[in-house]
Amino acid sequence: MTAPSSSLAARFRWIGVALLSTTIVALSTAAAQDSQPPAASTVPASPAADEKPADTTASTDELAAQSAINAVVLEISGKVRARDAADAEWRPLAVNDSLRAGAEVQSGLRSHAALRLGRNATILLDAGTTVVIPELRQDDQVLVTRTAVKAGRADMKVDRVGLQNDFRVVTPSATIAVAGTGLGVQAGRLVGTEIVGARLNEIAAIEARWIARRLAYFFGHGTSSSLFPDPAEGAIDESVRRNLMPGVVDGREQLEQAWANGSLQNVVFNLNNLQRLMNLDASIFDDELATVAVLAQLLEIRAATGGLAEKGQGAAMLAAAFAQKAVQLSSQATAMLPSIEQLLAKEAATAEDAAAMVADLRKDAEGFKSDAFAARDDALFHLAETILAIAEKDHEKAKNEADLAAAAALMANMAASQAMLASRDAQGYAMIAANAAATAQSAINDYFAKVGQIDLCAADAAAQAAIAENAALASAALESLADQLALAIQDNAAAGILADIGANTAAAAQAAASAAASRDEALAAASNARTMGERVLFNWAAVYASQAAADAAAAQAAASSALEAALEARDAALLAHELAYGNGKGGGKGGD
Amino acid sequence: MPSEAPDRRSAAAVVRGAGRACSPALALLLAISLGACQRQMLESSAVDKYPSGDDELDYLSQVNDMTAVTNNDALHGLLLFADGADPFTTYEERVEGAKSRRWMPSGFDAPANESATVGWMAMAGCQICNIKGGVTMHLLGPTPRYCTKELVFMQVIPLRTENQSLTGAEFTDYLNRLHRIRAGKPGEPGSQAAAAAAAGPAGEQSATPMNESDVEETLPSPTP
Repeated sequence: MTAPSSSLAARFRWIGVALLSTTIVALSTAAAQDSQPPAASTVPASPAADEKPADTTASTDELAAQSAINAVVLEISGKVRARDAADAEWRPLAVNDSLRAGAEVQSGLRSHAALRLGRNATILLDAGTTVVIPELRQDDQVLVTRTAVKAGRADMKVDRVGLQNDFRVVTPSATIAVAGTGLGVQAGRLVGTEIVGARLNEIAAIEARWIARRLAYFFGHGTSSSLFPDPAEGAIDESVRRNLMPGVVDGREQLEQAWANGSLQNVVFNLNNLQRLMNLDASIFDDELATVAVLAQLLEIRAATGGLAEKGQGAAMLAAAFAQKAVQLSSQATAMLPSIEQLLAKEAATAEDAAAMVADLRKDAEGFKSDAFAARDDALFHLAETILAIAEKDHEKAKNEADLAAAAALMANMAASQAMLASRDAQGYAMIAANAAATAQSAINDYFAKVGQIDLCAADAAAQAAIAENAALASAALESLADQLALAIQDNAAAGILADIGANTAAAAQAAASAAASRDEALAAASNARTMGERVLFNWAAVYASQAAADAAAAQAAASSALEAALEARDAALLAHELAYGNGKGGGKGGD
Repeated sequence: MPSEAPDRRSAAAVVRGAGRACSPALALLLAISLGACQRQMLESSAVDKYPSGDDELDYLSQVNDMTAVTNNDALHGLLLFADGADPFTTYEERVEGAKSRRWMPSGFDAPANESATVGWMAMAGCQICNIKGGVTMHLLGPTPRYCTKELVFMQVIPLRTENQSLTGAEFTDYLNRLHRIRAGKPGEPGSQAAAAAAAGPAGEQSATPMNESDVEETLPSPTP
């Protein structure tokens, strides 16, 4: 604008732009009168109150709920603030802030701001400008945008994005429909509303700067399946990408596919076109290119770790399956718990019963044991205690054998069983007597050996007289004990045993005789039997009687043997008594 | 012609009567005229409430709602527009600073809350935007009268005289239009060229036919 020729050309261009804008307004007005309600056409010199954003805010809220579109702040310079509604608080505005329909933006002196309105328009606010966005939505295939310029200057650039554009600018004195690529509107109290040419190149440069700052976001996968989850970003990309990457990709889907295939990683932007577009130095893209390189490295790392991630996912699925199975088993086990508890309770009751029975048995055994000890104490005295235990053991053995004989005798008759019992008792007592005699003999032999040693010692040394005296006293004690033993055997045991054995022997003989008589009667009855059946029965009776007689005879023999053994035992005991007594009397030096 | 004498007397009486009847009206007209010469005085200025440069937007909003811009508010707004900050804290300091910059005549002594005249505001605007004006301005220097005429000629402001005032909304619009004038001048702070230089060094592509920003951003210049 320094040279006169360029200034003249600039003036003509400006006039041309003004004429073009006027033509656009006229055409849009005519079109609006044909197809749009009158309110949408140019309204000359309408009162400012009629175009207040507050009047359209209520309907905006309802429409915004249908398909709301946000505005994105592309660039900020100086002091710029915004508020969401006319009655809301002002807040400072920053790049990438999002504004919804109904928002009001105010720029200060020496300031400017650029907003991307939805998918198809960018608005550049000059210094000292106040703009309201009362309506910003997509109605099916129509992008509806209403912008109210209350004061200052705003340049609008409207792109064609495949949808129908319904972009209107409301000023205090007119409503303007943008049918072309854009226009600039100046509104103020001094002159009123003026329409000027839009600064499309500066707006495009702002868009390019903004998209260049966000390259890192565009080339990252992010959380969206699309490179451009924000419609405003997508529209900006649509409008400037051809200048950024000519010949590489033509459509957004193709761009996303190229990025997904990885063929876009090595693409370098056409910086010449970008520089021509933005009139800027290419060095501002150094950071973005470095970001692309870093992203390529991240992609390699991601590819390398992808297998591990898949394995980890498989392991996680397997673990989940195991966990599910464990839950099932746990539920089954939980269901079985009551029955198990009932079973355990039953077993516990059984165990308690068994324990009670064992306690009773133990109690009985203790009783039996005490009884046995009492009997043993009664049967034995002092030194014969061990002998009596052995005798009891043998007695039990003999008792068993006698039980067998008694069982056989019981099959014949009661007489035979009595004989068997007698035989058993006799045998047992005989064994006791024999063992007692043997033990006594052994004790006597031992005693004699000791006495012999003492005698030898006494004969060899007169000084051992005191010892001999003591031995004599001990011998006297043993003598007394032996005397008592002999007397006990003789008085209590031997006499009773012999008496019992004798009685039993007599009973056995009587039983044998009775059995023989029964056998004879049975044989006689069999011979006199009138029928074969009776004869068979009598023969069987005779057989049983014969067996009973044989058993009785055996019992009688056993009793006789027991009697003999008892007699021998008694004789042995008496002999032992005599020997002991006689030795004690004659030696007078036994014992130690 | 005795009949003419009463007519003369009656005419004189009519004139005298009319004079007596018109004297209160004349007095009233004179009083109104004298009162009309008094400038509007506001109770306070917006800068009293928002003196800081950080409150610039609040200051502009309040000024925009005022019926007239005061001298104090006009000085504060022009300082913010020119330098981006107001280094002064009192009205007197602002007046002295404006005089030192030749934004207003040296004999300026208007009160702070009195409505500002278009004349000195136009003078300040020409100084800030480095508008040289025509022959008279070149010969006499920036004066309120001719600066106003120059800005009217440049369609920055509508047809006004230097003694008129601006409403708050008109003053903010005035600042915006000054901004566009300054933005269209290469080398001026805030101009398109300065913005391009701030964003990055201008390359050879700035001269391409596609780059029409310098044309589009400039108001039509009346000077050849």
